[in-house]
Amino acid sequence: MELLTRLEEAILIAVLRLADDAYGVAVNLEVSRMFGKSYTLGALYFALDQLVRKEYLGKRMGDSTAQRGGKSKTYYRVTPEGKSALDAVRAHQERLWKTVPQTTEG
Amino acid sequence: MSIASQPEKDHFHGNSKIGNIFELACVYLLESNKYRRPGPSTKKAIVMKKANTDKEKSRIPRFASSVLRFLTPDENRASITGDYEEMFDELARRKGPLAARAWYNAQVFKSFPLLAAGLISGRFYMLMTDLKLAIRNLLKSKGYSILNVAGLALGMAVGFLMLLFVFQETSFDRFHEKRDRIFRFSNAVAVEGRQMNLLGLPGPLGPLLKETFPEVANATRLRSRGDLSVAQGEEKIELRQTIYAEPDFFKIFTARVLQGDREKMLEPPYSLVLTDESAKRLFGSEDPVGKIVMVNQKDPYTVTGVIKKFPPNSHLQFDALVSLATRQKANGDVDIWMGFNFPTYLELRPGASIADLIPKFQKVLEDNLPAAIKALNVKTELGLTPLPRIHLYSQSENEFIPPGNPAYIRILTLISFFILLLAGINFVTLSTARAGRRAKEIGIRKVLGAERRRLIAQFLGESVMLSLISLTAAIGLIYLLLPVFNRLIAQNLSFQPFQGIFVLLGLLGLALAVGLLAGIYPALVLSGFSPQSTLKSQTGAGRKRGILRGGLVTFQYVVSIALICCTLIVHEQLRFLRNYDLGYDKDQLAAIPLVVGPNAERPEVLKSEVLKIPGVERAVLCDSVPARDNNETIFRFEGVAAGDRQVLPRVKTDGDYLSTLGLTLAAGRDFDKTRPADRTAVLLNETLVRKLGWTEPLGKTIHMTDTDDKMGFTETPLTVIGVVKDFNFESLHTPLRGQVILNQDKDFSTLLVKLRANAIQETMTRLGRVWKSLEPNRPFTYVFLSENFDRLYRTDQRLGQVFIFFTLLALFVAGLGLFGLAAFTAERRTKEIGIRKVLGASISDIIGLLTRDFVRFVLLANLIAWPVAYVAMKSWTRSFAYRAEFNPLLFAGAGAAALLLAVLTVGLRTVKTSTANPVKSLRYE
Repeated sequence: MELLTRLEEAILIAVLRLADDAYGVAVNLEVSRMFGKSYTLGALYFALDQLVRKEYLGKRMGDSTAQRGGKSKTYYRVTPEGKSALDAVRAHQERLWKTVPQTTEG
Repeated sequence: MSIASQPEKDHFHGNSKIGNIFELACVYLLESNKYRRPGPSTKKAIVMKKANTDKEKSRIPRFASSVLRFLTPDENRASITGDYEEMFDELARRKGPLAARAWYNAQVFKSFPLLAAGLISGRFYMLMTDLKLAIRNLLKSKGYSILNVAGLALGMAVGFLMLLFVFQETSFDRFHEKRDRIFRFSNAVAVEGRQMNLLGLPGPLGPLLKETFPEVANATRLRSRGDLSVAQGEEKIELRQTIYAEPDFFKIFTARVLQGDREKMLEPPYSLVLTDESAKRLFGSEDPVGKIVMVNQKDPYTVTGVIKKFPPNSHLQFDALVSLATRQKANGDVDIWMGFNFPTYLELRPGASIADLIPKFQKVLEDNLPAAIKALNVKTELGLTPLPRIHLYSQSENEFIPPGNPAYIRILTLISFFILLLAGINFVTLSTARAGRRAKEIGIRKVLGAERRRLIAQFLGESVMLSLISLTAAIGLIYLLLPVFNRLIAQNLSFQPFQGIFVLLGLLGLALAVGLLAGIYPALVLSGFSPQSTLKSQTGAGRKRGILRGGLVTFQYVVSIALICCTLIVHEQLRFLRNYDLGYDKDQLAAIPLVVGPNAERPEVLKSEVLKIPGVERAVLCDSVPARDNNETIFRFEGVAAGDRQVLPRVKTDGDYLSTLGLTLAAGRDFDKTRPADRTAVLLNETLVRKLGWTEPLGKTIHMTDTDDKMGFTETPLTVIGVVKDFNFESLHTPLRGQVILNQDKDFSTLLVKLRANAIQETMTRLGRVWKSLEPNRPFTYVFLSENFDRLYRTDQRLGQVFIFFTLLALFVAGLGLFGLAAFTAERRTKEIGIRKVLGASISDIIGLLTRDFVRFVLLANLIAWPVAYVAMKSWTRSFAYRAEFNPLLFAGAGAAALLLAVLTVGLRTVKTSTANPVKSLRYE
């Protein structure tokens, strides 16, 4: 099974953290904060779409707000498959690091 | 959750929400002309207005925003643009409008590549899913799909092969650059009531016309030279179909010169210009220019150039060109006005009017014809044929290559169109028949909200995909069938789809068109199912649809049966021709061409030596061979009323013609070698005597006009001493003409040998040895008369083969269709069959029940097909003077064969259903 990319992993984590409030702008800000650099929205949407296609994320339409000129927001949530993908990545990382000899250099 | 109650998150500084609503309501009420709910744009306008009253100039850059809208897919557009705007507003509030606008622009353009990528990958993904869906659907009904693909692929392959052929035939000579200005003379000559369409004109005419008329840019003469045997050192090859040509050849025709000087290579006599193919055969990779070769073992020629071989779609096909000056040197007849020997081509200047020029050309010709020809009452009528029309429409005898037959092309196009139609019909019937199976699926999808348009698109997509799969199969089929096809129609077509982009595009276009056309009806039908009816019961069994399907099946069988009848009739006619009593024995007759020229051995010597061979029964020296040669001349008959003179075929023989060919006399006697007066005696055939109306032909005098040694004409009186029983010396296409048999001692071209029936091979070997002893430098060649005879009907034999080919094809395709239909019907009626079996019906009862319907269609097809075939074949046999009768049994046989096949096809399929366990079938639903 293919592993998530770092960005994809970050997005999924961001969505988890944002819980009910995970929509485009929020996810973008969250991810940018996590990585310390701002991602363009475009990059994000591309990755979001891919994740939806792989069925790691689910979409849901929210209501329209006057603030956004009446456009509704799409909210994302992590699917069980997404969660297991995250777990897989984490397990993979741990396994890798276990093989590194624990040397303490002076 | 309403607008008011949604808690705003930290990155928005919330304004008074009550204010928002109030603004909204005011604007809404005030804009009284908008009675619908405010759409997103109106809402946006409202917000914009609000934003404007708060902050000046906080507008989203228009260009960037439209780019953004463009780059986002429909479903996501609102939320994505909304996200951008949200961030824009936030930034505008915090850092001011200019910073916000800068950010917005930057964001949009930085996101450009990935948004675009997202768009493309989104579309791609959707395409992929649709494709996977379509494939899964096709695989679900594998049987039907295979049937459909097979039938369609066959139809496409055949259709395309036809197109290749038609394309080639209609594209002859188009590679010449000046093709629209190049013309060739046709010469309709009438002599004493006999019309001939000649190709040749007097040699000097072409150059004279070029001198006299400014409209004539160039003129050139050609003449067929025939086959040459060419030797260079040890290498010896045959150059087939060589042509005499002069330097102006290159001015008119487009030929690629590979080696040699194009202006000079055809100037000197005894020059040879080879095609690249011939040069390779003779010289390998050496440079042939300047080398000397031996032609026909006696004349040295110089190779002066190499040109690229003309493509197959050219009416001039040759292995080499010989300089015309050679002919002048050898025969001296190029520069004289006596004779019609040289096909002449003209290149006219743009704007030249043919209608004006032809009478002028005519006058020039008539002014220059020698008195001797005019004295014979020869009338010539000139015409100009445009170069591209020569191949298909030339009426002239003695063309360079066998002319194309526009009627033949039309027939083949029609037949292949029908086959394609048949395949398409199969497609439609099978798809609609399948409809029943998918009815439930469609009903459910409609309930779930699928639009009709989407369904239609999906079904069309499926049928196009099926069509494309058929296309790949068809391409494979074309490669497979091409050699068979080429042999069938005696052509040399080549199929290279990957070399010409047009061909590939054409094929794709064809597949697309077929997929769409054939898929429209089923798509409409399938998507038109109403959910209620599909979920309730089985559909696709409507009365109307059943009749349409039946009609299509009938049509398929009409075509098939008609083709069967035509095939049978054609073959019957061919058999008739083969067995017709010609009045002489065409088997066991061999014709040996004599060597002509000053060094040749006297033919009488050859004949006497040949007669010594035990396997040789008889022999005769003559100047024409039955079923191949035709020599005619003018005759005048004493005391004949209608039309003083006639042009008739005649044979010059040494007196042994009748005995060698096994002919019988109807009156009078044969030539007698002991009577010197018999040198001026003739035999006439019965037809001639009958036409002349002579009751007492013996002793009458006729006068023959023939050329003498000085290229003039003389008239010789001859006495009739006998009448020969009619025998067919020409093709059975033409009615028998009157014929005159002469007794001479010169002007012979052939030794006709009658062989004894046994050990023919050995006799031929012995003949070869005799030949070698008398003519050691010339190869021994011979031809059996029966071969000549077969060659006469080559076209007809080919037609017969073509018919077989297409008939089998049509039957196969029709059978496929019937098979599919039978399968569908059987399945549909599974429950019914189960019940019937329970009620006591036997297997044969069931089979009979199922096949009965189809049998009806086939019988109906018979009734329609018979008259069609009858009419078609009647017009074909009209081209024969001797016809076989139409045997009604043939028609009945065709019908029976079709019926049998149909029953077998349907039966095979229904047997499975008929023998099914009723318990299982009743549990079906």
